[in-house]
Order: sequence, then structure tokens, then C-alpha cells
Amino acid sequence: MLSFEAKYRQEAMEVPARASFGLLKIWIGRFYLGFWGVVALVFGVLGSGVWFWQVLFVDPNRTNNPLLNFIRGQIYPPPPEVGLSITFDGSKGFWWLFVVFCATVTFFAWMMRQIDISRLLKIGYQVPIAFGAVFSSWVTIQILRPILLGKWSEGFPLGVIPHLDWLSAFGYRYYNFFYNPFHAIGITLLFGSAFVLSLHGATILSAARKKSEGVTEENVNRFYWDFFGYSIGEVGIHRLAFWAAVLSVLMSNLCFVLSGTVVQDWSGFWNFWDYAPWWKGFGFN
Amino acid sequence: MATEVYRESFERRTKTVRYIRFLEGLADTQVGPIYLGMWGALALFSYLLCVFITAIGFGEQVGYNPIRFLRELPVLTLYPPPPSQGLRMAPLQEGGYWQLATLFLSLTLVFWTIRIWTRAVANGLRPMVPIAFSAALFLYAAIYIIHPIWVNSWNEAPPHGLRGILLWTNHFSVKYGNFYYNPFHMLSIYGLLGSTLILAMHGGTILATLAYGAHREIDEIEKSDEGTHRSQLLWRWVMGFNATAYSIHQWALGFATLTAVAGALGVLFSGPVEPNWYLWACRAGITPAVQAACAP
Amino acid sequence: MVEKENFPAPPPGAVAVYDERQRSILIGELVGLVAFTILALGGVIAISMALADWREFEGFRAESTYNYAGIQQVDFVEYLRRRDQTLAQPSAEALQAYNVWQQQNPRTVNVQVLTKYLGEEYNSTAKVFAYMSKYFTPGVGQSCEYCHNLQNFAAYDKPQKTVAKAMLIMQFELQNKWINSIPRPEGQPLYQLQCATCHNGQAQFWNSVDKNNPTLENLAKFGIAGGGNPTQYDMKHYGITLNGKPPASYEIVDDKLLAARPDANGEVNYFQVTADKTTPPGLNDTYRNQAAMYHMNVALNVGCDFCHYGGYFKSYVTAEGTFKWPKSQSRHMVGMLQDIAINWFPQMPKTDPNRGDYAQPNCWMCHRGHVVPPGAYLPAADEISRQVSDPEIRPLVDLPLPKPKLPKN
Repeated sequence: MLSFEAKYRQEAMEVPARASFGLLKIWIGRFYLGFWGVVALVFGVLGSGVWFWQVLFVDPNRTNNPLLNFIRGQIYPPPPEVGLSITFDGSKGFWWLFVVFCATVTFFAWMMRQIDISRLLKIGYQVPIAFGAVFSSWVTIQILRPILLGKWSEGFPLGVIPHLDWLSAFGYRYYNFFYNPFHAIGITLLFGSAFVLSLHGATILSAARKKSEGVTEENVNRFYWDFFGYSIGEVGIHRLAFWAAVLSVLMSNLCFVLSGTVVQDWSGFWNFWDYAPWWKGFGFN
Repeated sequence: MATEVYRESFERRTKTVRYIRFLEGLADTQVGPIYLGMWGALALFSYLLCVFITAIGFGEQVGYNPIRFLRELPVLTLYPPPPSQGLRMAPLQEGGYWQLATLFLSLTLVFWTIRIWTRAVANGLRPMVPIAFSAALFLYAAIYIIHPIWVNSWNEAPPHGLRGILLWTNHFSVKYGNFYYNPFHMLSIYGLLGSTLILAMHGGTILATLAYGAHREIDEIEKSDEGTHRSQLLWRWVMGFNATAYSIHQWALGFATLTAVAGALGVLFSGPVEPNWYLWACRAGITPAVQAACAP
Repeated sequence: MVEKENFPAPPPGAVAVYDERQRSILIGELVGLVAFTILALGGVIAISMALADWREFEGFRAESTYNYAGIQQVDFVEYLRRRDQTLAQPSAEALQAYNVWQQQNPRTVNVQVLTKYLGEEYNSTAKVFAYMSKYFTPGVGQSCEYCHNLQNFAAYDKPQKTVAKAMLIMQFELQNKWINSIPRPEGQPLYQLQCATCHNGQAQFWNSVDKNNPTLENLAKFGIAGGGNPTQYDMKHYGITLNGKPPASYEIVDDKLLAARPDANGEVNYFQVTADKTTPPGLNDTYRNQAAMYHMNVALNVGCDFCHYGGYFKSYVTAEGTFKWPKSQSRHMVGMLQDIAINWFPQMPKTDPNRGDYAQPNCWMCHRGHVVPPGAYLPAADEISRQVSDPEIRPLVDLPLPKPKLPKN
């Protein structure tokens, strides 16, 4: 335990349980267990176990090298012919469904466990909310969108390199994914997040451990006022951080769910612009 | 939040300071003063030149018709010289404008870096922000300057313009055999997505412990208090590992820098070192593709 | 949020307090986020549905599927119906005139092309009439009098008849050389070129419009504006030329394509493959590729992965080893485009001698946004053309067939 930890564990034990939170207040070493921890553990081990078994021992493309198999192996989703039905025939993608199910439960339980711990520590729930955003991406891509399109085959194969392959093909399937507006917004926020992170990390590191020289956050403020005209402040930067990161993921959800359902050609999507009513009368059309 | 406007002996700042009331409680409300300085003036001048040249280039494509300009702004593009020009100074209409605009853009970025360096030092801070910016600058240079020079063709640099950039990303990837298989690209994406993850984690953590004063990070680094303790325990109990108020910012800077540097390496190694990343992946055995799909 | 009663007093200097204002701000943000998402979604859906009105092809079905399986042809009647058109029939006047003619001439007077390519049974006027009213009339959307002098069906009074005869020869020659040899998997039917295949129910369509004055309305159907479609400015800067000038964006045939020839092994690169050590610097070739590829996307209404393995565009085989027949077929078809552009269109007579040259052929001309051209036909037994050693119109350049790409084993 950390030097100060004991009193917080004490405090946590005194927080009354409510609904599914606060049950099984046990720590295994440094990890908190809780009811949701048990769920996450069980389904996590189950799902991972099946994945490793499939990739290392069953995948028809496996080589003699387990490390290489780890990178290139995959579990295939069900073929398009079965649609949304769940067949218990291993060759028809059953194990994909199984692992996706286990993973979904595990991720959900992980999020609930974060809520549990936040509650015990009497802090806000921003962390599980942020995790919830990423969890929603998983659900959108592997479950929601396949259901909308009526085929499990629309989900991605469970494999390190194969899911990259799938992503590449997915983009090209819709002609040119760069023209997807929600993809563009998501990417802007994604690169923006990296930018903000870089700024924030560098800023704090530039001012840290210089108290003896009289450096306070006032110096940081002045630095930002000088070169940029605006200093967002120590609270503001963390709000910006949280919202930029969470929104990037939520916008990306949209970019996925709209492809194949409503829009087939993101390049041609923008053709409406040239024929918009506000350009009439200028002699362009 | 200090509201006094301060001056140094010979460098000037804008006088007025405004407050955005709407942001109260969310972020700092003060806007301004901003500092000009020599490097700022140079950067501004250089940037305006770049914008002007690009605007001329765009204007020519729409016959200087302002309505048409607005209508076609997203697709207007200033192209680099064709491959036949190599690294020469091309005629203005055949990529010369692009060369000038890029020259001034590059100068702007260099001036900007020096500006933030001098400002950091003048305000008593370590120059970590300009160092971080240099990583992004390295990526910019790799794409716009180093790679084109290495392959002897300005044509391989991105055009200026929204559509031009989107075209370039697509074509560069297609030309070099699908960038998804470029291991440095993979590393860079790991850094990019990892950065977003760390940003969400850190932002969420601080917001969750605002009431305990965790946002006063510089103080918390000197002496960690209840806010930091609760944040650390949150992550320790969740995932068995926690950073400190100081080290989380090292993680942050590290991931963001990894994104830019790995990306730059990915671009630099394309062409002379490896012309087809997919075939490289085939040779490395990391792709499950069958032999027939790996035929060069 | 955390219950207020369990909350300790904030330490001095704390900026944020979880008071009502903070809570309402956060809730406001969440509600705003949800509202924006719904509005944005609604906006995208609205735009997409509005798009479906003027886009020529039937928009947002998934005829392109990642796992391609069993493409069905859109019936030509259905294709016309979606454009609020019906299958053209001979007019009452024409039918009457034909009946008179048929009585007077039960054997044809000067039919040459049909008998040569389809057989002697086409010496019967009735047989010829049946063939023409099945294929010619609906194909170009015109009744008999468009080409024929109704008092003398054999006469070449109207230039349209001269043009039609030349086009008929072109049709059979292309069928024999290119369509009959198309690489295809077992079970895929062999279609026939007919007038409808290119004309799609119109006597003059945009391909036959003077290429110096194409109407914007027709270009719009091709998705000229926005997206990945290049403008003339783009073409110029990427060095793509046709007869020394930047082609219009719908012209996939360019100088490079016209010059490509198979080598001794039958290998030919109509579109420069851009991923090996010999590739010269510059992105021009890639741009040319991509512009042409986007045309194919639009013309067949399929995503790139219909023909390609997305991981490696050059490959004819997917990662799992499945042979990509559409890529092989597309390559073959591009050869046909070259043939039409070099040998046939330049030799086609024009109804108006003052009109400019025919526009170059492209994938859209026949495919019109479908994988199987709606105007293609599955032939009856006596409608299958045979090889003819001495066609009336000979190719200007003898273009050897490229060696087809086929699955190994």
C-alpha cells in the first residue's frame, strides 16, 4: 500500500453499498475487486483465453512462431450468409460472437468498477464517463452497426493486424473515407487532443519543481498570454482535455454508424454543395 | 488570475484585456494581452505572405470571383511542381507559387518556435513547450521538405488546400503500398490514440478531484495533497498502476512526441528505404495474407 | 454526481465546487452534446436523402458489399422506370408502314450486317423486324421512322441509318473480340452488347454530345462536382492529357491509356502501378490512377474493395486467397475502352457533319451505376454473333488482346 493509502481504504469501507456498487469491498494486492471486478475478471479471462486459444492453436493461417501468431492471428466474424443468427458451429463465426460478447461484458464491468471506485473515493465520475465513451465505440462498431446492417460479418475480425486490414478495406469500401464529415471532425479532435496533450504536458513540466525560483502558475499564465493571447487556466485545460478526447470518440462513432447505412459514397456525398440553393442565380449551374 | 497588464522595457504588448464572462467557472476568462516582439512580427509577416500567395493561387482558379471563391474554397488547391521539375524553382504557374508559399510557411513555423522559446525563457519557464513543438515541426519538415528532397521531387509534398491535403494522404499511402502496414505509422497511431486516451484519463481524473484542489498541479508536484492522493488511488485500484502529479505529464509529453516523431520516421523511410510497406509486412510475416496476395 | 451530504468541505483555494451551477453546466453540456448529435445525424440523413433525388444511380443500397456475392442485373425496363421512362415501341404509323413493306418484301432487300454476323435466317424481313423492335427501338428510344424512310425501309435517306449500320458492325465486333473473351468465373452468364448497352434508351446521350459543349446536367449525373472528381485544373497540374490538353473529368481514356500496348508476354499496364522500386518520384501517376479508379467506383456504384484487396491494390487475390474476378474483368474492359477509342469512335459517321468528335468512351457509358449494365442482354440462341473474317469496318490499329489474369491452379 502507498504511504497514505490506509486511511482511504478505511474511508472506503465506511461508504454504504448501493445497488451493485460497494459489494465485495476486497483488495487483491493493489487492485480493488468489488462485484464488478469479479464480473470483469471472469469474462475477461474467458474471452482472452478463447482468443489466445483460437489465435495460437486454431487459426488456419498460424505459423510456428507464437509471437508472430499473436500479431497476425485472428478470429473471423460470421460470414455474411448467416446474417444475424447465432449458430453454434465453430466454423461459422461462433467464437467471434463469443469473444465479442465476453469483451462487451468485460468492458461494461470495467466501467462499472470505475464508478464503484470513484464512489468509494468520493470523487467525480468523469473517468468512467470517459471510459464509457470509448466503450460506446466498441458497441457501435461490433454490435450496433452489424445489427443495423443485418449481418454480423460487418464487425471487424479480432486480430492485431487483421483489424487494420479491415479498417483499410472499410475506408475504401466507401470510396474515400476522408470525406466523411464526422471522420474529419473526429480526426480534428484526435489530432487536437494530441496537440493539447503535448502542450499541457510540456507546460507543466516547464513550470514544475521551480518553486525555489518563485515560479508559480502565474508564470504559465503570462507565457500563454504572451505568445497566444489566452491562458485557459489550470481548471480550463483539464476541461478542454476531457471534452476534446471524449468528443473525438463520440464523433467517430457517428462516422462509423452512418457508413453503409445512410451513405455509401462519402466522396459523392459532398456533391450537394455545388447545387445548394444559395448558389443559384450566379450562373454557376 | 492576475489582471494587471505588465510591460518590459522595450517589448510591447497590446493594452486591452477582455473578459469572456460566459467561461466563468469553466476556464479562465481573461483574453489578452498578447505579445508581439521581433520573432512574432517576423512570424506574422511571413505567415501573411504565405496566405497572400495561396490566396492569389486560389484566386486564379476562380477568376477572382468572390462568390465562386466561397463556393469552391474547400476544393481549391495550390499544387507543387510536377515531377519533371525535380527540385528546381518551377515557373510560378507550374508550382512556383506553391514553392513560395511553402517557403514562407516554413519560415513562419521556425520564427514561431523561436518566439515561444524566447517567451518561455523570459517568463522563467523551462522551454518545454517549444521542445514539444519541435517534434511537430520535425513531422512537418519530414513531409514537406526532407522527403521531397530525398526523392528529388517537390511533387511528393502535399499541396496547399483542404482537398489537396486529403488527396495527398490518400495518394502517398497508395504509392508506398498502403501505410497501414508501415510499422512507424502503426507506432505513430499507437501514440495518437494513446495520447487521446491519456488526455481523457488525465482530464477526467483532475476534473473528478477538482474539489480537492488537484488542479493546482504545480503545487501538487511540490507536495501532493488529498487531490493527488485520491487520483492516484483511483488508478492504482483500477489498474494497479498510478503516476504522480509530475510523471503523468511526462507520460503525456512522451506519447504526444512519439506520435509526431514516429510519424515523421514513417514518412522518411517511405521510398528510398522501403517502397512498399505491404510487401515489407509480407516479408516480415506479420500479415496473415496468403503467398499469392504477397506477390510483388 | 456525488451526493452532496457525503461531500467534504472544499479546501481553501479550490476553484470548483460541485454546487448547483456546476451541475447545471455539466448537464447543459451533456444535453447540448446529445442535441447536437441528433441534429447532426438528422442533417446527414436529410442531405443523403436529398442527394438520392438527383443522383443518377439508385443511391444508397449496398450493391457494393465487402463480401461480394451474387450480383443481380437490374432489368432494363426497371432501369427506365426509375427514370420515369418507358420502353419505346414502334409508332402506329411505323407499324402500319412496316406491314405494307413486309407484304411487298418478305425477303430483305439489302440487309447485310445481320445476315453476316447472325446467320441466313435474317434474310427474312419479319425476323429482322422482330430483332429491331426488340433491340433497336427500345435501345435508342426511337421509333422506326427515326432511321427509316417508311415508304422504303431499305433506303439510306437518313444519315441516322448510316450511323446505325456502322454502330451495328462495331457492336458485333466488340462482342466477338472483347465480351466473348471476358475472364469470368464458372456460372457467370455471358451477356450481349446491344444498342441499349451504350445508348440506354436515348438516341443521343452525353457521350455523343460534342465534347466541347457537354451539358452540366449530364455531367452532374456523373458527379462532376466535389468529392474525388478531378477538375481540369487538377488534371493539368497532374500532367494528365488527352490529345495534349487536360481531359474533362469524365474522360478516363487519356494519352497514356491510348498509348499502352501489351508486351510480348501479353502484360500491359493501362494504369501505372505505383508501388515498387522502379516507380519514378512524384505523385502524378498515383493521382491519375485514383482519378480513374474513382470513375470506376461511380460508374459501377461499388466501393474499392469490390475489385481490390484493400491491403494491396496490385493484387488479384485477397488475403485469404480468393481471386478477385472483378479486377481481372475491369482490366479487360479497359482494353475494350482503348479499342473503342482508337478504332471505332473515330470511324463512326456523324448525323451532323459539323458536330465535334465523339467524347471518349468510359465505364459509365454502359454501366450507368450498376455492376451489370442494365442495357446488356442474355441472348436467345439465334442472337449470338459469330466471328467474321472480313468486317466492313476494319480496325485502324490492330490491338492485341492482353493476356487475361486468371486464378492460378
